[in-house]
Amino acid sequence: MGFLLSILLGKKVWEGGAPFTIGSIAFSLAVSLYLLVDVFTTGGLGAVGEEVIAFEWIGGIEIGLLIDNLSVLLLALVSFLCLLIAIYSVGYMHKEEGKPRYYAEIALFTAGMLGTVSAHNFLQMLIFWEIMGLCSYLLIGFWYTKPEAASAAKKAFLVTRIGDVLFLIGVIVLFIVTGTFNILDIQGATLPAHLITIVPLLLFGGAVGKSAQFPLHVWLPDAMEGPTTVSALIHAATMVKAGVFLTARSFFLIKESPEAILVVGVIGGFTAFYAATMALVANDIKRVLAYSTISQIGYMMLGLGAGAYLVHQGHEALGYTFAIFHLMNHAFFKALLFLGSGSVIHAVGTNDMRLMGGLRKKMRITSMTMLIGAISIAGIPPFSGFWSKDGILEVAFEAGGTNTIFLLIWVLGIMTVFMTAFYMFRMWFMTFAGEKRSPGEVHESPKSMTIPLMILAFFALFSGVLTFATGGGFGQFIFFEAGHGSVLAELVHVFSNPLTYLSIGMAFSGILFAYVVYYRQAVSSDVFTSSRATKGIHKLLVNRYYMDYAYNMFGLKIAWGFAKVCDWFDRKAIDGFVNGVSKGGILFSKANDWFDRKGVDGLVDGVSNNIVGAGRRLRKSQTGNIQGYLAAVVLGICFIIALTWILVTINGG
Amino acid sequence: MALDFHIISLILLIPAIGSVIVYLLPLKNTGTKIVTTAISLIPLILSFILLLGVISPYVELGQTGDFYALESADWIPQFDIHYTVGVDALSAILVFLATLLVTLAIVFSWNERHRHREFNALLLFMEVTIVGVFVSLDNFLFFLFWEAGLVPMYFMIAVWGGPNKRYAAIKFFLYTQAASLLVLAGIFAFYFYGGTFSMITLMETNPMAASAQNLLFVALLFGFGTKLPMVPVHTWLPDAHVEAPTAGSVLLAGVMLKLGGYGLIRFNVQMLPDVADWAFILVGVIGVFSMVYGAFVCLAQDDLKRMIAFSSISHMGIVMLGISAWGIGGSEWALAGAIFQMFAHGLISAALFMIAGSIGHNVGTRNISELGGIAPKAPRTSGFMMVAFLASLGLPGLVGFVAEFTVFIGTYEVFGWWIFIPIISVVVTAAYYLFAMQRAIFGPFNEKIKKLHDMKWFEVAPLSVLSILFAVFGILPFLLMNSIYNWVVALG
Repeated sequence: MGFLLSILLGKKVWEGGAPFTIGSIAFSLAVSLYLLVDVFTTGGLGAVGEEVIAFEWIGGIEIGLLIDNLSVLLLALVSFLCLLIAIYSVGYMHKEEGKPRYYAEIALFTAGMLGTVSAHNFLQMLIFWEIMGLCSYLLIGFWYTKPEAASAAKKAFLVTRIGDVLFLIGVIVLFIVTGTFNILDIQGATLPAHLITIVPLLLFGGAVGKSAQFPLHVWLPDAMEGPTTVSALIHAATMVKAGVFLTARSFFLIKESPEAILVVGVIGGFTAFYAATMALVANDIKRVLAYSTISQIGYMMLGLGAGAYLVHQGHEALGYTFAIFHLMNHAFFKALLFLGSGSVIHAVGTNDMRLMGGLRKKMRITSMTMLIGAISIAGIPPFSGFWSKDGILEVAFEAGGTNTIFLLIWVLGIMTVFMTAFYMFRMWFMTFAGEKRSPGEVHESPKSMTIPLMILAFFALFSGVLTFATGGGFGQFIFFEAGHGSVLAELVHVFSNPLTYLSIGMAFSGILFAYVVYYRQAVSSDVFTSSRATKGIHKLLVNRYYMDYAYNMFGLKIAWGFAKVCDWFDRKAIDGFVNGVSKGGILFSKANDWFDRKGVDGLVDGVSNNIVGAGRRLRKSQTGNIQGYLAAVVLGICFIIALTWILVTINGG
Repeated sequence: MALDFHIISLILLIPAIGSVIVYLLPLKNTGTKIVTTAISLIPLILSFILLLGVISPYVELGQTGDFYALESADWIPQFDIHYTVGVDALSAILVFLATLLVTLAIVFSWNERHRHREFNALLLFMEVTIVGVFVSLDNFLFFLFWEAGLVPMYFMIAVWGGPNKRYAAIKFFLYTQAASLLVLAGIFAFYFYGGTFSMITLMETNPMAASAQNLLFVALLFGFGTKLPMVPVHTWLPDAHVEAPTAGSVLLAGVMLKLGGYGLIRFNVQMLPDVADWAFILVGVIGVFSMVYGAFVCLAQDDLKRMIAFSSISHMGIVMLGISAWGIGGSEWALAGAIFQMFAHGLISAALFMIAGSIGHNVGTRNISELGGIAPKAPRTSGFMMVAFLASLGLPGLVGFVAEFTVFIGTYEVFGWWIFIPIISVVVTAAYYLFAMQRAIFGPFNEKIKKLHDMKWFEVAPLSVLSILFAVFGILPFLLMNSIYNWVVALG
């Protein structure tokens, strides 16, 4: 209950500076942690959550909270990261103008995200979901005088809006079919057969937009125009995970439909691979991380898809657990990597990795913490990323046992492990190792920035292992329907599985490859950009598979062109017709006028005189004589009344 | 608390007398403004009480049948014409909207010095006619106010308008006059069938032959639809808006368009219960076409006011869609959403036109291509623009979303997957607003702008009121929605 208060508190910090925001988020964190401990230690809630109903919104639609394992984990995670990043911002945003705006938007965002993950009905989730989207829009465009930032903000809002609209329709369909927005009530209802696939896919559409999955991924790399703290918080650690959260929340719908399962799995697996390929060639440090985020979220979606498939086949929902596990781990190490890159950018003053290098000696804390992040994301045990990513791949492989499509996705996933390790270490070597290429002196960042880095590095290292230390393993906390096995069994299972060694091997070879190319420079990277075989691929990747280009063309040529055609049609055709009619009226009046004056007097009797007189007044009205027009109106009204009367009499009234 | 006085008559009478007083008092601009504002506050307060009486159980207004605060007197007994006024949830909300926007428009035009006494008197007179339409429960009285309303708006455009004002004013007058004739025909058709001008009797007895209802429905659809306006009888609106002074635009978009929506619901929905489904399908098709077509036309506009004018066409299409879904499938959500949309659009479009007018006045141009990067120099203008644009594109938490969402619920309920067509307009709407903002207020400052000053207090105050209301009714829609919904349910 106290949580609603913290949402409201977060919202009220409009005019305040950093202390207000940090204070209110810290309060949210305290409440969330209390809930987390309460739920996990008593375990009383299980998979089915507890509802707190606040008030009725409109006729029978309630606003309330759903507190269950999933939501408490995300509440704690989100408020923790928001707090860390708000503290980091104190150093990072020190010299910026418009800080009140920044902190107010961060606070509103926190409220939006907390509201999204704790919503007990889909409508409420949608509302907070859009509040997050708004904050994302505002924060990407924080430096709004930069044309790129303004354009990126618009792109982010529009592309996610497409997903949001699908989400909206999905929610509406659910409401019409089940008569409620409430998630638990919907869980109890059964959908009619013809909707069983389409509804989860509509909801998934929202997730695809928000989590920047293929084909709606194009906004996220551009969103890097915002401050790095924003990229870390919203576009890596929290908001983009809302899509995963939504997919997990609607897991009970997805698992019912094999087609929906396949779509989720395929989009997840393909996006993981597809985004990783683009990360290979990016030179902007933040864009590498952005592609990496898209790719890692793809893993989570793959985990959910494969997990749903196995549930559909009657197995345990391990994929669900691992996806959320990866969500948590990724939040830590990706926030770490982004904040680290922010620290570097802060010091060097550029995003371009080609202008960095040799920063290791000057920025010890940053370089070490980022190394931890890179190892973690690459998937080397015992760093956190290993546990969850390996779990997801294993689930995908298991699903691949009975479904060749999942087997193919698994192959993509394994290849992505290699690429992930490669591009991460490519980034690390280009930034921190080798010769110094940046002009000017470089200093380590202030404490308010490095301390959050160290805290995050701690979690990037241990968040995987820690879950074992607490007793039951992650699977006993976050699960769908039933908890999973104990720690020991899990450990034995992981290390007795040959697949584990395959993925570790892929990760190591990726690191090695990056080491050879970017540290030793035994093989020049030019080989890939200039050799005939790979030149084309390189060009394709640099141009992001021309998807942005295609979308822009669609927006500019087709939508814009269509708008122009509509406008032309409106002005020339519709309005042209209207003006034509009135011109015709004027001409007719003029003709009458001429007829009246010059025509044959004897043939025109009194009645026609009246009509012609009216016509003349009509003509005058066209040039602004309103009195004349009013007189014509009176005649017209009489005529209309008479006509109506005739019509009614004929009709037999 | 029971209120037993002629509250509606007072709402009509006070601005009517006030308009004469303002016209006659030889005051300077500021003095006139203060007097006019003070006068306009009285009907605003009264209509707020009226609204409370309808939506809250704690204020009693004396109810007769379906209507509150009913007053009736013989007027022209030979033809059974009465002075009958009263409100229900539908009209009480719109009366409140009208009186609110009149007050805000008066304050917003604080600096209008050209023939200021006539200007303010005209605004008050306009209030009488608009409120009169909403409260009339006698068809003859209704039409009287309906027609009278054209006159002040005509002069508003023709005297205080922009460079092409004569064309726009004449076009406005002729267009809506032609539509009025259809309405008049409808009113007499009702009279010849039912032998009465009383709306209440007509609603209760349904005297008209079923076969005639379809014909009349279409006639009234075009009569009220022109005012709404619906495509293809909409072209008067962009011109009228572009030329009208800001206060005129605010009232035109904020309340005059609602006259059309109100007419559609009061006449087509309530008095013609036996029409065939195809008639409502026609409403839906035109509504959806207006939504999508209007949105696309917006995308191509350069003049902010013209863009907002087309966005009104697009958004009033939602009202038609809601009516259609109710008419065909009886979806209560759809009609409730349509009514809520009228209220929401009234608030939002008023703010939009205030902003466009203020930019035109303060920067010297309303063309998006001639603006650019004004946010740092005009933060208040830009801030309000953002709030109003976001409200208009249906951001959840603001008032527009509630209306759109409820109409879309009804749309799916009745039309199923056809919902994908109107929903296109949601995306296009976001596109044109964001694109406009990107070019107008963000990016580097356009050095070609010579003069630029931010909003003054009299511009900030009304926009603040509206922005707060966006949030209040966006977050707490049940304040109105519950009454609207119950009203729709009672409709059957």
